[in-house]
Amino acid sequence: MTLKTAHVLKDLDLGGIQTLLLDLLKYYAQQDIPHVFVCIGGGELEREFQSAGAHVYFLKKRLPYFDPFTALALRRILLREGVEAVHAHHTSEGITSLVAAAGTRIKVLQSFHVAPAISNFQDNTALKFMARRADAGIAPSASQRAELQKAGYSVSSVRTVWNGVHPERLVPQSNRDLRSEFNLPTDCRLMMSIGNFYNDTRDQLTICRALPIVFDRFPDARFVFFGGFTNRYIKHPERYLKCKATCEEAGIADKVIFAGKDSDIGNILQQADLFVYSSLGDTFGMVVAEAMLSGVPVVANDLPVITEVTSGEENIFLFGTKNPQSAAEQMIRALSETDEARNRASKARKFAESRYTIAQYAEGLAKVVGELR
Amino acid sequence: MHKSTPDKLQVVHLIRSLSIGGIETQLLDFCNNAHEHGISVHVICYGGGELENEFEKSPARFVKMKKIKRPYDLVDPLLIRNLKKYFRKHDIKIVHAHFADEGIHALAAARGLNGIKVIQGLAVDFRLNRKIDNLKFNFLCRKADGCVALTEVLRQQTMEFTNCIPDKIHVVHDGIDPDRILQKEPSALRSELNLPQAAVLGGMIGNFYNNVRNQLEVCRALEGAINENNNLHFVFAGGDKNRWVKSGKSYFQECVDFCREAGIGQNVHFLGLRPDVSNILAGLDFYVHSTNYDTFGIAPVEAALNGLPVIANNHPVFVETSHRGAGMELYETGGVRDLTEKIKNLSRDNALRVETGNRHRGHAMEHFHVNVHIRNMKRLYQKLLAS
Repeated sequence: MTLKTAHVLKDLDLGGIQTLLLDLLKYYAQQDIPHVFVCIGGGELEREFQSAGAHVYFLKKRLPYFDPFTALALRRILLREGVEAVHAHHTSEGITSLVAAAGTRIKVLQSFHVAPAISNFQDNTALKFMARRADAGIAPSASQRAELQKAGYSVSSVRTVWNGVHPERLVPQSNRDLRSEFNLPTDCRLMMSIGNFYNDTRDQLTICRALPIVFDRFPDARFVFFGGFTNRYIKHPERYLKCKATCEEAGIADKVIFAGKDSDIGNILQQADLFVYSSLGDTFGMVVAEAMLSGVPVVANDLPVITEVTSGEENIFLFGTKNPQSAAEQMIRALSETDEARNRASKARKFAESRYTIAQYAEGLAKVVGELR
Repeated sequence: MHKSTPDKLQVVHLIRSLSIGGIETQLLDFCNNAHEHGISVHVICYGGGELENEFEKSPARFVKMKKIKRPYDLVDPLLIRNLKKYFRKHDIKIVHAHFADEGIHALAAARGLNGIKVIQGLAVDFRLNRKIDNLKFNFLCRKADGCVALTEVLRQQTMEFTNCIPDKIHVVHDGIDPDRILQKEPSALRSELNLPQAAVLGGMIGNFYNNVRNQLEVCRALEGAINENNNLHFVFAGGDKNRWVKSGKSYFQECVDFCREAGIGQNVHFLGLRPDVSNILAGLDFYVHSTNYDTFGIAPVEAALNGLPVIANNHPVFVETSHRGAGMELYETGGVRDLTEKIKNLSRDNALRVETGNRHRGHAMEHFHVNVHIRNMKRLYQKLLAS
């Protein structure tokens, strides 16, 4: 039997970690797996977390990085709920959890969802400390674990547990038609990418630079970028503006839509003819797994983590990282060799179904926690 | 009529009285629909109340037993013996007790009988309970096979007030039967109050005792709203006494006096305790609820199911049941000005009322339909039986 675990996360804005945890909570609630979820702060997904059917606590934090009162409140919850393990999903939650569990028999787990290259100095320092002090660490991919090691983290207690997707999330929540919503030709080939523009995790710019070549070959094609431009920490939409300017300069602005955030991923992916992803710092690439699970042909860059998660050319079309020419070639190939694209998408779906379900993620966590007994 | 069939899961609901209240109403909805989910319900009651006839008419098997009346807290061995006999005779698998006194008798009666699981319902705010009831609940939470809290808020409160193992407390939100609450014929409320066609009518349903609700806050907010729009009328439906609380201890008169002194007495109507909730809700344009201690708040959800836009205070229970404002417009508790503004907005804009009402109805249908409640309850029964 697994240890009763409390998951601790700061902020509930739409993002990969939050989506993963929301899926996990729904799964726990549906399977009656003992759990507690503690959110420090709020965000756009508050309602979804509240309605997940899970045991959720909302705590406030008054100080920017570490608030002893929050740690005390968390400690009270952990003790009252009879929690045996606390799983922190980011930096300040890790420190808060470590302090909250001090002097108890509660085990502390730390997830490493963010690439060290993307994290700032403060976060890297705190996470390196957590890698040493936590009872176990969780990396969402072997590539991320290797990156951590390369960056000087102690990885002896870090295990790899691939992220998972709840099948319910890929069921469309609405029947809206993206082509009519964005005034696109009804028979256009619809390519899309999903990912926020906040930091250097994603590289939408390479896609924007590749698109003029693709549109030359397929004038009827259109491209939609889904993803937020700013959040509470990134106030200036610098990366989005750069992408937009690139499209305008190339004269393709009428064929590229920047649609902002959208949580109905089931609906979106169902309408895609091609999913394109370019990353510089993903630690798993959740959205790539979602596209694979939806049976959409995928074109993505050859970052080690993407190759690991997708099993590479066997299941998707790979292009050279930061190489617009290569990206364009692969997009054109996927759009023109439709049988091959369909064949790879079908293989990718089977591959993803065998690895990236939320049940497998929960089992993976339970195994790591179980070893701490 | 269904009554009970032996091939279904045999469940006893033990309840002391059948007065109009949230727990009783929820149980009535459960009784009217559970047979469609493979549950055969037996309601054993050892008191009476306004809803007795409704229970008798329901597909559930309704049984009345007697209990020594005074002292109230005395454990009645005769009742225990009769319950035990009943459980044996009808091959009861689950006994679901709704208050502390029922819990004690259920536990005692189930003792020594194989395969029966006792579930303790948690539907009362521990801060309002008598001390002796909290002691009983503490005992029951430890001894019962499972506990059912109406909300996560109440689950967390139970952990504070009792020594119950947290994983033993399950949260099952209430669910409402739309057939009970949706009136097919037009409401007679407006003609009863002699309201002009153009009047915008808001309302709140809840009794005026035990300090559970805060109608006075709504009265204060109405002052500003009615002074701006004389077409705005408001009804309060709820009693000022029950068998345990005398009328003098309620704050009913305080509300009446406030409205009279504020000059809005003509527009605020106090209906008293009313059994025709569906008629009242069908006559309203919007619904307002202010609470101090609700443990679920069935009335705002019933209003939402009627397609009414609902305004409620941001009490933790409503934050939870509205999923942080998705299913109700929330205002800051104590924020009279905020509430006044929200009432003003709804009272002057019909399109907003329709749009908000549809949204709130959709939310209530999705999360608080009686079938959702029964499915979750059955899942819990089966889980306990399997354990």
